[in-house]
Amino acid sequence: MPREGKSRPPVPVAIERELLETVYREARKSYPAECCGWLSGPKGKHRATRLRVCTNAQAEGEHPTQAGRGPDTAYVIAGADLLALNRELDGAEPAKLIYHSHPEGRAYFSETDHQVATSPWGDGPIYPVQQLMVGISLEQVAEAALFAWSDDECGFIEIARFDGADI
Amino acid sequence: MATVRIPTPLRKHTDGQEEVSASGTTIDEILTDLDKNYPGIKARICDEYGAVRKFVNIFANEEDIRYLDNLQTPIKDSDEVSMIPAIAGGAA
Repeated sequence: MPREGKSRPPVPVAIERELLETVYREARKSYPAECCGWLSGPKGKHRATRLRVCTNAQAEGEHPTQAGRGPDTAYVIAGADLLALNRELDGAEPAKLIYHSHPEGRAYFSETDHQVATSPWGDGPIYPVQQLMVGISLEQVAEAALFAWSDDECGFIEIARFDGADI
Repeated sequence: MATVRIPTPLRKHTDGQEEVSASGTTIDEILTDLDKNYPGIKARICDEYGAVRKFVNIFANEEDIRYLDNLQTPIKDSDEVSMIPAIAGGAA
């Protein structure tokens, strides 16, 4: 249920187009599987400056977090990457957003995405990061969109949309 | 005592601490000891049958305990135990 009384809407993390297209190229490399990773930036700054590519554990055999799905419709950030992300959250260059791609799909926040990104222990995002989705087809990167937790909506909302590219 | 790293969403159970100490010779004993000092935390990590919840990963140092002996994985005082929520998702 949305809360009463409005708080400040989430502000998109600033991403240079060049860095965004680096994410698009990772989505192309992984296609037709989903890619995943994160963009980090200086602590206290609302911008992303560095890409960290992660292994989709779903591509190396079914992971219990997403049982019954293949890497074409699911991603699970692999253990070593997950440990690194958590260590960096408390460091000088924490993750600002987590990205993944939807092969043959649009850049939307799916029910699965919402469920896993929301803390199962209470209201709020499970990680203090925004979520970037990339919709990619055989021909091109169709689009990307950025989502963030909204206290007013008690859920993730779209806060920015980006043009795709012939990648 | 082993060092246990607490994920951000569970730090309200540990007075905001990122790391706490717990004693035990297995992951299960570590979780039980943790629950004595921070009541309720074990129920967040394990389900009603005592199994680790599927969205939680527990690492003994760098190793996922799913690929070791799960809750019976042996722990030494010098070890670091990390409890980390999964990052996953996908289409539809």
